Amino acid sequence: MKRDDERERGLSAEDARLIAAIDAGLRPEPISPARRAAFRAALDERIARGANPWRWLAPALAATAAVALWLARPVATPTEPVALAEPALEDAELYAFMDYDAVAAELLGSSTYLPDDYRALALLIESEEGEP
Amino acid sequence: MQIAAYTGMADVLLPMEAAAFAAFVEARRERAVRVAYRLLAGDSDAAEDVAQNAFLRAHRALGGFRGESSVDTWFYRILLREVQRQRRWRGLRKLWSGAAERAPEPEDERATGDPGLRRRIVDALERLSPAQREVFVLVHLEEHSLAETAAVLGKAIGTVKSHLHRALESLRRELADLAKEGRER
Repeated sequence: MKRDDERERGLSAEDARLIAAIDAGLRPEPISPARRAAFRAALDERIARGANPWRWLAPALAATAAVALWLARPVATPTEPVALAEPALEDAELYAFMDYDAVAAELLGSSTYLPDDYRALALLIESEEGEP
Repeated sequence: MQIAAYTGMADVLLPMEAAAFAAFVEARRERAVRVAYRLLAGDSDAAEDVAQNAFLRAHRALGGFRGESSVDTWFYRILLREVQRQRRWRGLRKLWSGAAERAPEPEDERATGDPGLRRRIVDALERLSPAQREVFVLVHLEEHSLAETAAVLGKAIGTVKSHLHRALESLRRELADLAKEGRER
């Protein structure tokens, strides 16, 4: 391709020098015969590889196998919900809800178990009753 | 250059078709590598990879080439698309690798000329927009006409002229000493 007139018209002498300097300063090394042969061989090899009409088969099979494996994977069946036992109440919680004195009185007998105040009164009454 | 349509597998290519493609590659390889080299900040290896990818894509697409544009316009369009893909990929790699990539790129040992000057030119070209860089390289360094460049890039000639003007303005600022040095010689 030749340098055309329409481009030349827009260039001053300085611009032309600048472009020539850039052109000379940014050039790749000429391709050696060995590199040329390697380039050609690699291109031929890629063309031959790419021309295989069945080249899509292996990736397609691999993708199909992956999908099949995914679909056939063992799926965990949902189990029956297990009724959970009520958690045992802690002693402190138990005491909060229970009238401990009443239960203790039932277990030990009302006469033998009394709160301290009542026990003091009971002793007083018993001593008065015992006096002649 | 009339390229026979490629219709099948490489190993059943008619000898004429294979020979035509070999001639097609031979006629354009050096220039294709040079264009890619200039658009890829002077990276020889990347330029060869990109040129090879472009030839490979051209080979695959030969059957679809309808002759509506010249073979060169068609091929350089493929080449520039490969360059753009390479630059995008390189940008992504830089983004991923972060600080490691911010280190100055190693000098290309296979490049010719003064490494310092090449670095300055590369830096100045890298500061252009992609469209300005492509237009500058195609028109001023590779001597494509404005019409050819517009056809390759799929842009209007006016747009190409505008990019060219801005590119040259920026390069004048960045590399003013090169033009002056030239005058002193």
